Amino acid sequence: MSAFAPLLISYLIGFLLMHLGVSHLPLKHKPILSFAVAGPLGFGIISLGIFGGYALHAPNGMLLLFTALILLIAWLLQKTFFSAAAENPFSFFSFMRPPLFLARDQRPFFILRLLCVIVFLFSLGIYLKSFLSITCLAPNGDWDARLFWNVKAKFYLRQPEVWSLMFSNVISWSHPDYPLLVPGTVAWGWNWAGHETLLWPALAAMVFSLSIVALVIWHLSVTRNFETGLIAGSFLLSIEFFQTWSASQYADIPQAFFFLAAALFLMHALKIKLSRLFLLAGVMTGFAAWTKNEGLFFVAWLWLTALLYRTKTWLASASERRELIFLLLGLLPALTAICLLKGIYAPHGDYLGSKRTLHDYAHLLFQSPENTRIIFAALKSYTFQTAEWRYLWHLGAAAIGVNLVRALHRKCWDETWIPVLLSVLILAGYVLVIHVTPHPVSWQIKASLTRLLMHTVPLVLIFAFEVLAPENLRPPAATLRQN
Amino acid sequence: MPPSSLVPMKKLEWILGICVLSFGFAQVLLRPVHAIQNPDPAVLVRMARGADEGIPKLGSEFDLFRPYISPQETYSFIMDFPFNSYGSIMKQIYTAQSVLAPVLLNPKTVEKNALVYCSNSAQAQRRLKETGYVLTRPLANGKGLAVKKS
Repeated sequence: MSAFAPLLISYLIGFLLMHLGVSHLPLKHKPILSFAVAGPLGFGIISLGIFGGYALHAPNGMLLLFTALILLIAWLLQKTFFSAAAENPFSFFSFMRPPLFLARDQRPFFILRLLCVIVFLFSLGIYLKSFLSITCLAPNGDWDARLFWNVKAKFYLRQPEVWSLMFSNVISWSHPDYPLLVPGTVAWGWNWAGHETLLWPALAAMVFSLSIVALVIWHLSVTRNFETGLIAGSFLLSIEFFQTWSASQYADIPQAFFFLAAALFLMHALKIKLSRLFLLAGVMTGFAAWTKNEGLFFVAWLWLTALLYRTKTWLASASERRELIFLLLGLLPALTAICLLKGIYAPHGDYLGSKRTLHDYAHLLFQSPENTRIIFAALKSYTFQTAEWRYLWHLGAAAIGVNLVRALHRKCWDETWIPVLLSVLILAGYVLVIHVTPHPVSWQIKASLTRLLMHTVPLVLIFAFEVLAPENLRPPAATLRQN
Repeated sequence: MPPSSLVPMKKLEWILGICVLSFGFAQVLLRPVHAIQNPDPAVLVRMARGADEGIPKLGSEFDLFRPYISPQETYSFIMDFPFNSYGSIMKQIYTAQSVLAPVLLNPKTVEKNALVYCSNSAQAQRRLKETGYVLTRPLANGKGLAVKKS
């Protein structure tokens, strides 16, 4: 039970915030969206709260966090249930009407939907079996989890007055400048349990993984149809690297979640032009940066993408400028924490504060063609020649081709390109980072490339299915006749 | 009414889409590349109870140092071989740090106090000599606390 209270509170905070964020917005299937985002959003807020509490007064850091959370929950409940403007949260569930009274011509599609649900449940079962099997073999998580991420959580909990020792350069191998979303999440659950329980980190890891699946289903249900969402979700669950990395308790699956959530909110924000969605895109981008250093790159990529989609108008209108202000506002809480972490607590990192000059970086980037060749060869073999991805990268490449033909035909570069644009930028950033790594390039590739690729997998998946899957499962002649 | 040229294009896209969905379906139902072992129900039950009793504890071999160390001090960590970021020896200090946190362990032999974790007494003596430490509190074969010779 001790693991369910922290989970429930995280979900409550995340759900109420999402409810406030998306109520009255013209978005379909809002309950799926809220449930998909609630857990990770709650974890993100709580991990920021823990860091803030400890930064203010370490011995009472958790007490400060609890006070802040009680106030936040009270405010959210007041806003949700007692504010006249708020949407009734229970109307959220109206979509669950049983499909008993389908029109006669819709019945075959109900059977198809049922089949998709069965396939989804089958792949969920396989995923759970794999997750539990890996967890039983390594209950403390894999290498980085037990030796980096969970160690930071132990610094938070064991003697709060000396928590800042986690940033000491003496243990530079534990990457003192790494962001603290995952350690904060682990410390949150352990604090409730009263000891370092093995269940909580595994449970948190599963929440992030299933949230990605739910987000994929939500987005494709909105842009395509529910069946496509279920098949794409099943596809993701069946990817063996997804199963492995989600059970490893690494920060890469949380990172993939925040990349995906930020990209989706940006896509929908650009489409329906509502400031609150830009705010949510900013919040998710901030949490991506608060999860891993790679997230800092993502902040730049997301801004670049948002600005690219505004180049036609050059932010001419006040509302467009307002959109970007909201994007920035969403980023601010996490960015403030990162500035505090990297500026004050851990100014020496592998890259920032590593005492290497720009000349050193330029030399590593441009004077090592052999490394460049190795990196690109590895990228090719780790994507297109690795069976565990289940041909996802081939599907992504096909989708790029189809969307390109479609865009040239229609002379329209719409928001469907955002996931693939972000994926390319993210991977380009990683190629640069691998060039300048302080470790040997081949070691770095072996140690991290699959995990880095995992960050873009949900983005490539939704792009592929959004571009290639039919909008309507009914044959087009019938649809057009009906219109 | 839509233009008639749109119908074949839409049809083509629809057929492609159905093919992609069928491909997705097939991938889900395919056998995984690596066989999945059955999870151990005993471990799951113990984890679900939250007490974790009976599950091997990570790095419990380092617990012997706990009563003698304090987070106010930083300790060098002496192993059979000098620290190497890419060698298998690094696992020892990483695991020890995980177990003994918030006490800091320095892989470099520069601190006044040190934790000695060698495979036997002979190895420990050799490493103490190399690094200039003297054993002050032996705790087990090749394990103990040491102080830097002044």
